[in-house]
Amino acid sequence: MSAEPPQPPQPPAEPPPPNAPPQRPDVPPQPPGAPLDAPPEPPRAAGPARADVAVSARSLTKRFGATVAVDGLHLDVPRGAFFGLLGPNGAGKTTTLRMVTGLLRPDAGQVLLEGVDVWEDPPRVKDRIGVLPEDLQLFDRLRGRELLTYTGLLRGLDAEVVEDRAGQLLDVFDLTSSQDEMVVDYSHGMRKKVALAAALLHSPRVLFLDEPFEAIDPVSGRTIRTVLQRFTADGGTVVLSSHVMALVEQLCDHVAIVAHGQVVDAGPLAEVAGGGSLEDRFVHLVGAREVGEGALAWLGSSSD
Amino acid sequence: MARLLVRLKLRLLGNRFHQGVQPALGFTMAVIGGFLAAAFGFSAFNATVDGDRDVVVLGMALLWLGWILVPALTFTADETLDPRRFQLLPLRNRQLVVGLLAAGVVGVGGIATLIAVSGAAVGAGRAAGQGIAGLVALVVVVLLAVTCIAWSRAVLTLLADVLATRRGREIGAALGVLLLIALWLTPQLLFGGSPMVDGANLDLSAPAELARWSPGGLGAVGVLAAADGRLVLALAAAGGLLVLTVLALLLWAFALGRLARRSPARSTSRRSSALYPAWLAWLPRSRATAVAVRFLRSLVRDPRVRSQALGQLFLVVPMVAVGAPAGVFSSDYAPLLAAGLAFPFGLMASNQFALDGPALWVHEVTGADGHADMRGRDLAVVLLATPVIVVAAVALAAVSGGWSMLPAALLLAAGVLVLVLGASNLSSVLLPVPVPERGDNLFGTSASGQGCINTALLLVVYAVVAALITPMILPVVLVEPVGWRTFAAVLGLGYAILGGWLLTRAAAASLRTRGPDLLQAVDWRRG
Repeated sequence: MSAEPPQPPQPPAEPPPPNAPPQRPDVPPQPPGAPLDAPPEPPRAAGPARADVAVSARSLTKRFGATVAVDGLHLDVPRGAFFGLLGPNGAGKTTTLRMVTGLLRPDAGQVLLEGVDVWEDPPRVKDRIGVLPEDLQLFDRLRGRELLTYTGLLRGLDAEVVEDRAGQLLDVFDLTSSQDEMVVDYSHGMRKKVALAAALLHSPRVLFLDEPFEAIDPVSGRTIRTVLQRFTADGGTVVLSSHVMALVEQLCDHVAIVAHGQVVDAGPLAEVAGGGSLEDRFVHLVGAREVGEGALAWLGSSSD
Repeated sequence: MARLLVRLKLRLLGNRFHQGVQPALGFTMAVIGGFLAAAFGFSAFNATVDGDRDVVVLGMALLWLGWILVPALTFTADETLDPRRFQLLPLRNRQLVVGLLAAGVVGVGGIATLIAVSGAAVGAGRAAGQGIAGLVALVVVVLLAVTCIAWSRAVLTLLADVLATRRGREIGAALGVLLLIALWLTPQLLFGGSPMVDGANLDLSAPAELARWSPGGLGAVGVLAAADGRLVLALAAAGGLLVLTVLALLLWAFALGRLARRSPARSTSRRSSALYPAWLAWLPRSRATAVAVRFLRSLVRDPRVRSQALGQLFLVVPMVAVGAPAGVFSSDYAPLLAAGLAFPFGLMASNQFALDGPALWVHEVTGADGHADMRGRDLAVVLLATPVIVVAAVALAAVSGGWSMLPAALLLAAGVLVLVLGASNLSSVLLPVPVPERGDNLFGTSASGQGCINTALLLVVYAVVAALITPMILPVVLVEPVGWRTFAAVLGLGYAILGGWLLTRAAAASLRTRGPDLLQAVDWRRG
């Protein structure tokens, strides 16, 4: 991915240690295993929007009290990409997605969506995006079909178009038989599917999906994958957050790894993986704690 | 285990002060409310032990009944310790029951109950003139408080199967509201007045005789026996309470075991899924009408919205209770009272965004103008209020014969509704009060004291709205001759339309700039 604008080459401050992963030329060198101790990447000017970038975030920052959830994050998502936002629990993925989609006001930073500032012209941006949040708070006293109709009318779509698309989406996501049940009575997987249908209803150009495959059965998962792949093949952009490496490796062509509120690596999947597995690279970058041989020695012995 | 759970409970309560200003303030208000209730109960029981003894019997019986009914019908038991969180631990039900009982006593309700009933023990000691009688009475009231808590938990856990279904919880919540209304109206129906006012004239002996047979009544019998110096009878009552407590604990342990074995229930409904109901099919399809229809559907289907929004209509009860004995319904002014209905209807929109809760993101993510959303909710209120107000005005005119006042009454009602809706729109943006989800957790409810904060904010809104509508009402009531009143009502309607428009415009302007902040503010999970 052309995730970052070209940077003048900088000599590393120290020679890399022997077990360091290969460094990409467009990513500043990071000390392996301790990337979070490194100073944050210097902010780059947003500059004019590039035609090949769908989403661009610069110096995005959000604090909740004393906790810094997102800490000067930079991110570029190429247009038409299937982009995976990876990170351990609490890394700041959900907060980032909420800020990028205009649902949470950042303390600092800028977000451009197809060249439009999310916080300067929200209606123009929100018309182009579809969002599937992680917590799935919906108007759950509406029935499945009612929810889709409601969402379509909120978005200003013509009533007939809404009815037509809602029927098709319910059919594709295998929800036709439960369209007359209230969403409050749906299983978690069904809620996810109806929320995804609502996010697709207005044919957005960029889809933001927070853990979209969580609690989804394999059959539905395959359907969703097919729909999303067709979406990107037609020029749409998908940004999904997950910590399931296998899923991201299977679906995404670009990834960014987030830890402690910062992007610690980003680019095309193969480049980020660096010839190894994405999981190894991920664990290396976020700094996995090894379990020493002496630890938990009692585990497995009888408790009687 | 009991000590551990008590410490856990204290830690959870103490953590309220580290969760931000609102939970800390809410908990503080709950403690103050509990203290006031405890002080009132203490002095009332203390004074009546050697006074009107029927009040002691009824008071203690109602205390026990309240501990059973209120949590069972509103699911507002211990909000901090959910037994299901302990299911994975290798604890025997007996250990868990005793531990949770001890932790239950530590809560605001438990301590307030203990303080209140100990007033009866002090009164008994004073009446008997001997310390030992007071001591025995103290044993009785402590056992009474423990019995109340134990039975409350046992009944709530026993009802778990029913409450596990969404429909069961919602029926329970509806019954809880009906119970409150019934309690409010009972003095009116039975005695034709409020016992607070006419207490001296009431004969409570018959209900007190019945109440003696309840566990609460048994406690009262023990206290009164101690006050008379009949210590053996008092001790026998204490023994009876002990047996009742043990029975409750056994029942609770049994119910906990059953709770662990049951499978989650799921209720479903199958009906037509058109968003617009048949009676509103004539509405044009737009964002505003979609919001109106969804708001109306929420009023029917969502107990949170129903209780919050329709709770405003509860204001009518005291109006009727005060107005009926004064004969206002038979005066020429009676039709004007229909305009009073517009006030609670208009207030239904006063917390309109918070009623959507975190689901409000569905609106926010569309990026569309929030003004349309307000218009939609206002439209829903108008659709609801109009037939009720018109029918009420006509009925009052028919009853009182004050037909000449009908046009002024309808104009005044329209004005009040428009102005109150404008004020409600603004308050819903500036003063959103998060509405917690209820019923997800059998033992869960909103944070302690949230109700106090809600009430305080609501009173502020009431006061501002009342100040705004007063200049509209006074000319209609005071102008002479009567024929000029309709003209005054027309002028008032103009004032209301202008005021409502300005207020709604201010609300829309605020909404445009602080949509994401409002989304944060209405999310009860972040409180």
